[in-house]
Amino acid sequence: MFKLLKRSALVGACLAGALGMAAGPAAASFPERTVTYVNPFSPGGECDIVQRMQQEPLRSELGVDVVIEYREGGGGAVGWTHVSRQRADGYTFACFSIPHIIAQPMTRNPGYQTDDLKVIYTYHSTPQVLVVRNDSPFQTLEDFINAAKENPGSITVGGTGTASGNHLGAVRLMRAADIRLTWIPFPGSGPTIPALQGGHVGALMTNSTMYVQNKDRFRALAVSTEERVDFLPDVPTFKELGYDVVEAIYRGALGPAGMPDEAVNRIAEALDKVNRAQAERKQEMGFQMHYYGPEESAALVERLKVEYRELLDELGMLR
Amino acid sequence: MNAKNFNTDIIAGLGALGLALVFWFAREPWTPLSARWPNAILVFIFASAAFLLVRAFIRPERGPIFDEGSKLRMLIAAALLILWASLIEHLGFMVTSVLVFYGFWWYVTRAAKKVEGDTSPISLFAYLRAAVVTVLLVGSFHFIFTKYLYVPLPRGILM
Amino acid sequence: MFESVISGLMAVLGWEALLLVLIGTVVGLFVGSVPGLTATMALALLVPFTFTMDPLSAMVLLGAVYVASMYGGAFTAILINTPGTPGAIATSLDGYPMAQQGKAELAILTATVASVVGGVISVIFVLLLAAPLTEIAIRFGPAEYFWVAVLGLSLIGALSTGSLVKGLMGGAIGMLIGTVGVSPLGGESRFLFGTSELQGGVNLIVALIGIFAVPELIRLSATAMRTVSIDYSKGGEKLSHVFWITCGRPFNVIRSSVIGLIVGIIPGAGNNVAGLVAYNEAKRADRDPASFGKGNAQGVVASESSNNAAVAGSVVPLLTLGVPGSPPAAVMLGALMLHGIRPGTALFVETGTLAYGFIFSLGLAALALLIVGVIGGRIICRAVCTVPLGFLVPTIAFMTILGAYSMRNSLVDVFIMVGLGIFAYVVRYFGIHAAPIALGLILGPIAEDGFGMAMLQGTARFGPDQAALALFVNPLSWMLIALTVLTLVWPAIQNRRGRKRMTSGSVE
Repeated sequence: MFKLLKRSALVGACLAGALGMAAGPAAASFPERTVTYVNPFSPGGECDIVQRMQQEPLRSELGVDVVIEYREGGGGAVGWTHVSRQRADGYTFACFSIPHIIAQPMTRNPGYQTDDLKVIYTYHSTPQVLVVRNDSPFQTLEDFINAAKENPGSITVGGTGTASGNHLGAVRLMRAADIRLTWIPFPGSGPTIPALQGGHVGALMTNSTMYVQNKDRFRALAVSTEERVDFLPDVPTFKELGYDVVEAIYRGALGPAGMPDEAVNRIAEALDKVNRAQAERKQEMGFQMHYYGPEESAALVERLKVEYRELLDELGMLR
Repeated sequence: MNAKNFNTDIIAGLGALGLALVFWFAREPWTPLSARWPNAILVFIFASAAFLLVRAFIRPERGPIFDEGSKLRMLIAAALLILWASLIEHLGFMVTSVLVFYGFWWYVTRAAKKVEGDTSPISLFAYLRAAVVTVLLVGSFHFIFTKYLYVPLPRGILM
Repeated sequence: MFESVISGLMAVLGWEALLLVLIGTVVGLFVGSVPGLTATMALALLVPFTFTMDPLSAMVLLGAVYVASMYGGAFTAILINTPGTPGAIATSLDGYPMAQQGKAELAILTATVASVVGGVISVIFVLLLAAPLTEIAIRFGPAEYFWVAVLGLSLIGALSTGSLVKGLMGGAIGMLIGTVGVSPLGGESRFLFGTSELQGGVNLIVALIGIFAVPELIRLSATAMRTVSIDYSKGGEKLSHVFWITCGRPFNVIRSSVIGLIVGIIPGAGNNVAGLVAYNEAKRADRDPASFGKGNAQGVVASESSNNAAVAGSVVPLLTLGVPGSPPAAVMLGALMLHGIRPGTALFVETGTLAYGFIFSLGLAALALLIVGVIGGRIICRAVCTVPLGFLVPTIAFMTILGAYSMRNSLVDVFIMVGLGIFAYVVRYFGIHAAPIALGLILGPIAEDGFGMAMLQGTARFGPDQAALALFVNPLSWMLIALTVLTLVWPAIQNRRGRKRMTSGSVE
């Protein structure tokens, strides 16, 4: 029953492999002591899962202890504000998610500005998936959109919060298809699942990970990526069905602005190795993998800044 | 001052009214989704405060206030807690806790002796023992929390 | 299915699993009895250690910590009137008065036995009825969340010791404090008073430590007399006597366990409310409701059996739907995902050994409490009752400060804790007690979210003018409304009956 020994041997082998790779470019002097990897969300959230997966391999990559520190509250804002105020030496960095770090400073005063933060690396995204219950009358996106056109506002779509990735995905769909849906914000992603199952909402705009976990009960109508997702080969994209809806929640690591390049590159390299080693497992969980380094990540933020400003302006949510 | 009963309705009514007013004027132009709930709570507090203020003149609830033990000790205990919270940022968790803990021990021990009618001074042995206990207790928790629970307790002047 | 149940049972009866259960309960007991250390935090720290274990061992360890920490909250509730977990609020209502009367150890042991019984009963129910119980979690929509919060708030009437208006006012103040921070649905920041530090809002545990522990602390300093004691004149408490208290009235403990299980299934609300609901029902059913709140052991039995049954309850939606019913369950879901296991009804079919083994292990953890709890409980109880006051007071103060800080690693939380504590100490003299404030803090956000979402649903379904109809269309809503009305009206009925009995008695 207990395959403890076998398992740990396997993990040990993986770790040893990772360690071997790290031994190569050890020219940089950073890091010399324990680094702190801040989680701005609560234990059990998606940042938490990823950070816990990365903690051990990251430790062998960087050669120092990696401590995960919870600074939760305000939809992540407490944690990012904290990081933005730390010394920019590379010893404190945090898990981030987009749109949060872009949308929050646009809609309210979260205590930090997007430019106070230096995006180091982007490890994955969770594309947005429009899902309905298995016994729903909507077989295809076309059914759904036609029904929404017949009775504007009568279809309820649930997801996490307001001005969140889920919400902005739904807003993009409304814009692209010229329909009106009633958005029902939930206080977290957990409660959305029984809400759809129990018929309290008509559909969910949800993260790909949530859909992957509930595949057997829910039907995906479309996914918000440019091209079909590897782990969801049967789910059409909104784009191929004729609606320009591209939206995803990106996650990665960031630190305070003004970090030395040496530290940024070192952390990005380490995360990249860890991330590539975990790619297969993460895809099974429903994550779309990315391997964006500092420049690509910064470009992503700049591109999305423009898009989100426009969307939020349309919603009347700009500060 | 002899023990007397106060009209607690008028105090509670005015206090709640004041609290609700502070929050009322701290509101911002939120969307209905965020505004409806706090508004409803504030209206409820206003209404119940009004009820208490009316009752205060008709058939008030009366009771003694701050009648348990010494008022001075009560104030000092509260002040020690505030001091504890305020000093952590400057002196660090360890140093502050040792100092305030020891002060607290001395103050409460002295008070307990007085209440029991024991007039003997605190012995030197007791002072020493308390110092050891303080350092050991604070130190061991500090160690467990920083080393095993990864709680980043402020280090302050101990670098 | 039957084979899965058996193989699950066999899997957790090995020495390795039993050892994990034992370790888990000891860790959980420590975590639960230190104010400010929460099950959520402990589980999050343990998750990396479970990577190298097989999934079942991992879940067994995490489950045991969860069960034991829920129970450990009773210690502080009884000994220093401070519920270490929200679930233990109802425990303090009678447990603390018991301790004041010299029955501290009896209260602790009663809490232990009640927890064990509650844990075991709930596990039996979950094993037999996992699928139908899942239905309950699904039926709960926004309107039902709103009504369950209202039902909880109506308990203020039943629980408050003084004036009802002041009790409700305390509840409203608790709800007001609960609105500080970023609103969960609208995403707007409220009542920050110009700071960015308050945007994380007031953490529930931080607030609980403040409003319960600080007043106790100030009172201890002001009177310079200890309040809690063990009366040794009759010798130590015998376990058989405690068993008689708990199981001598089987109705109370069974009813409370079932209530805890069912309420615990409701994701997001369950664990915090279960104890209070069961307490209220116990009080209503008792022949002498007036004795509750003054040290009636049945109050402790109701609260503790219920909040431990709620643990098994919160595991049901976790395993069958992949929906965590509580923050600690959220961490366990994360652990399952890290092991590549997808919760859902398929879990019971595909990996039945894991699902059933895990459920069995919760029962084992409950049984382990009997050993760990009786020993640990006695030690902690005697320590608190005999340590000189000069050490007890600063130790409690130290724990509150340390606990408040470690909740979110924030100094702001320490100030919030001290501030709310002094506030709670002062307003108690004007008739506003801590329990209603705590109830408001817990239930305010649930009520707000439920109401907000139900109104949006209503707008979609009935149009903006009749949006409120959404609150009244489901039979489950009607049931909750009826329960609320009953809770509100019952004390009046009981009063009248009591008066009649008294008058007829005086005539005879």
